[in-house]
Amino acid sequence: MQALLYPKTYSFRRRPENILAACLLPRRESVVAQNFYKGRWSYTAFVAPILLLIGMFFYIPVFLSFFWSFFLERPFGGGSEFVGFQNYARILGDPEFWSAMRRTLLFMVIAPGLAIGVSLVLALAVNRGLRGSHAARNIIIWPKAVAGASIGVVFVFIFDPFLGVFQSINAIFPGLWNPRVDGTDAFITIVIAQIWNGIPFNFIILLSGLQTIPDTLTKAAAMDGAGPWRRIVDIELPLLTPQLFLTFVLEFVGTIVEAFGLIDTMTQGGPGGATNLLIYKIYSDGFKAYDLSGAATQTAILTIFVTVMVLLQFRLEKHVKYER
Amino acid sequence: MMTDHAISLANIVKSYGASTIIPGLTAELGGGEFTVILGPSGCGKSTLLNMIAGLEEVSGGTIRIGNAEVQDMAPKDRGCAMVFQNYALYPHMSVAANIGYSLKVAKVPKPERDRRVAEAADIVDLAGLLDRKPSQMSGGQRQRVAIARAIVREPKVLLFDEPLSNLDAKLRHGMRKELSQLHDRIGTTSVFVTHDQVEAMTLADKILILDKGQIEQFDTPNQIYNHPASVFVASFIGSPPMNLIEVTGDGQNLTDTAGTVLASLLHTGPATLGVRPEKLRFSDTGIPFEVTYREDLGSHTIILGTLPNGQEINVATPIGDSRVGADRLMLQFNKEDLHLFDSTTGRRIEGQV
Amino acid sequence: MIERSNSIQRVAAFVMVIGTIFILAPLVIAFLTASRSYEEFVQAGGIEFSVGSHFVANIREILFETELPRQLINSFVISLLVAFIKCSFAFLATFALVFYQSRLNTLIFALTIATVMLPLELIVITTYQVVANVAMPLNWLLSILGIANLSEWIFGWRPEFQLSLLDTYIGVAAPIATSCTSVFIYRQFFLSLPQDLPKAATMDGAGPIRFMIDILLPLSWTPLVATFMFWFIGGWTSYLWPLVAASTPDAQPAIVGLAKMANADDETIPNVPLLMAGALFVSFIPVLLIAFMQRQIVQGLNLSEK
Repeated sequence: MQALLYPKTYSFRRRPENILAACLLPRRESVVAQNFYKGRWSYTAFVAPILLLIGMFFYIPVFLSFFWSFFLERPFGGGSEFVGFQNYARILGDPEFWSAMRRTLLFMVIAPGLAIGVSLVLALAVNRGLRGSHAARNIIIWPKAVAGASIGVVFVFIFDPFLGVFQSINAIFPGLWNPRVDGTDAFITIVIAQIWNGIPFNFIILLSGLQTIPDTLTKAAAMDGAGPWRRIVDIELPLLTPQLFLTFVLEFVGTIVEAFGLIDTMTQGGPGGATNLLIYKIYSDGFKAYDLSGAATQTAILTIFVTVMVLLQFRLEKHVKYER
Repeated sequence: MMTDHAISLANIVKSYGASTIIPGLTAELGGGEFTVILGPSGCGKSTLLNMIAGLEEVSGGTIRIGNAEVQDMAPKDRGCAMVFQNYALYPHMSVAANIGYSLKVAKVPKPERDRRVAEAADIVDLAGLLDRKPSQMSGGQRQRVAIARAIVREPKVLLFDEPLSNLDAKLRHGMRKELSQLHDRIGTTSVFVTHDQVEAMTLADKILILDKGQIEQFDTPNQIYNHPASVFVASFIGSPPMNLIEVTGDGQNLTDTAGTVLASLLHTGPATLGVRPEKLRFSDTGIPFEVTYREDLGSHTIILGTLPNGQEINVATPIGDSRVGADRLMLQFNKEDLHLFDSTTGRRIEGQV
Repeated sequence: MIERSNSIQRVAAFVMVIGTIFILAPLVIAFLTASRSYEEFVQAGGIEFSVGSHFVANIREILFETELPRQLINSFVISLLVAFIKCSFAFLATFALVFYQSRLNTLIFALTIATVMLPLELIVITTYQVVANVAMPLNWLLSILGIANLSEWIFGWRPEFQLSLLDTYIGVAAPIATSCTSVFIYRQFFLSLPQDLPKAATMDGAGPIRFMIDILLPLSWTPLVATFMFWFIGGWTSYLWPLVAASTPDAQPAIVGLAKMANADDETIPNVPLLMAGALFVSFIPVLLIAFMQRQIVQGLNLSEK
């Protein structure tokens, strides 16, 4: 299996893992055949807008959140003083922070895992090409348009213990389902909403990954006697690992923050902090409690965490993908 | 007819950082001539072509086209046009728009543009296909669009960068004929880069053989074939390649490593003896030759065999030679078909016959 | 699909149906509920699976008695800005990165890709600070270079500039537009084009800018349109940043307005039908966009030049 994964005619650049590599490890492809024009002024003019934009609205804020994490900012403009690592000590010693962190980690494992799992199953099913898979594919993408807060408003109603779909069950077994009171129930509602949100994007990536698997491979496997179930497990899934990897990285990064819209409309971090994920905590600390230094510090910590996790996943990528 | 634009290359140097690809090249490419630059991959031929075109900068030296010194000029000011290996047609434009694009950039008014496009399309036999898109055309047709695009500007120099490499064998043969006829018709100074010696031999007025950025020989195809200037040229041109045998001369005879006398040439010391496979003849006496492998190609047979010293050489005999079937044959080395090269430098040694 | 194996076809069909139902369910429920009046809703005790007749009335209430229509326009403008900025800036930059020779290429590419790794929502606090005073970098510069001190010493005036982009369209849109996935997508596309096009254009007398306009732009139409729509929708559904950056209802996009409407309702039983109508009202434009353009979007994002 390892010897020939692609027929020689399959364009080298289009192979998913090379697209991934080109994206994530740009140093591999620094000189491209198309590099041709010279001209400092026009080059500068072309790259200046985007560099200014990301410099101003991305890099400076990132820098600032590390910068301010070393200061104690007085909420109402009373100036600030340098406190070194005191903010970090305070945050890292705060049990509230750690429970939010734990909840976030739990969410970050469950929600993406399920979202990707469901998307994978859907993609495999739609890939069969049955009648109606075009319509299905169209519909499965819709949540992208209704993402976040709008659907949160709908979901909070659907999951409402007295007004929503569970009201009949609650009538029989009172108190069985109440996200307003039961933290686990609330957590579950957020997870389900996030899965609903996350399906379209992952679905598209996985489906297009499945569709780039060359016909010749599935035919060869069929000639070898592998039935359709077997082919899914032995051929389609392994060849899908680059896309799966991509979805894990993107979904991971996205989940940390996408959940905000859901939390703000569905549970506001409650009940009792059960759905107070880090992103929500940062927001409420910063904009409601005006603990700007604390919020900045937590942002810095979360930023480091995300970066480390993403880098780790790239290290992992080398072991996961197949060598040719 | 633009026949008076000769290209003069004086001491052309090209380096990328620390590595020098072309150490210093001087040549005069005649006006109105079809010059082929031939060489193996990496010899610098495409780089040289790009420098003439202006697509790459020269690190040193001067290029003249006609009377003008052009190495510092932008490509569009030099009066060159280029046909690319993978055609480089604009996918979203029609054939007519592709051909006429350079005229549009030069702000030629539409009626004249259309006329010249139609003319160019006629020359390459594309009339009636002007509204198609490149994706709707075959490889050969696309190549002709590329040629039309080049000639519509009535350039001083036509440059070809391995244009036939992407075509299949039969198409290549047809395109060679068309290119040859095109050159006869419009007579523009042309420079054609290829690694295929058949294209070089058939199309060129003169061939410039390049190896590692240096000129091995610059001569007509005939001369190159019959009087190769070096071992490199000798083995590059000709299929199957020239047989090269290490010999030692004692002033009267040349003997190979096994002691067999191969020929009587007045040379002393070591040398490399060259003889083309088709120039070897079987006879009843001569040098013993043991056959190992035969390829019967219909028009001739190529026989691979060993000399007494164990070296394998090729012999090509025309169809009908009755001795072809035997296993042990005698070879005749005729003096006028022999070439002698210096053992160390590989350069040709003259006047030994 | 090579053979018609029944078991797998049945499972696949089943999965597709379940998946589609799961996706459509919340939308259908929202629609059904939005078609009832508040009184009916309270009386029925919540969710009902039948169509009522109050849909138009609810929509009318949304249009005339809430802030949502005005905010819908805000959403529209903001999303247009986001998509436009993203597409145009990325197109220009990627053109340079792919077609120009420069040692900065790798560095700039890495800088842009890095923005994908950290989502905007993570840095709202400090982005807020920057947008609250976009002249901040200028102030720093003056301060570091000592010009500020110099001016104070000479003129008695210390230059400190203040320009707030909060509550403005551009202030909301610009930070959303910083995520540079578009650079990556356009780069892949440019690399898939025939190789010698810039050389051919140069021989034809066209410079880099002419090449970009005459040749690259028409060829890039598909990915440009697809990504434009994709970012438009992304900008529309952006929540945390607009929530923070736009504090007045006048300036907020529809999604924020809807959330505020939902959270502000203090009744024991909130006016859910109205909220559902609101949710549909807020989402119908992006859903229509996705439903009609889904082929283009998927094709454009497929990173392929088929």
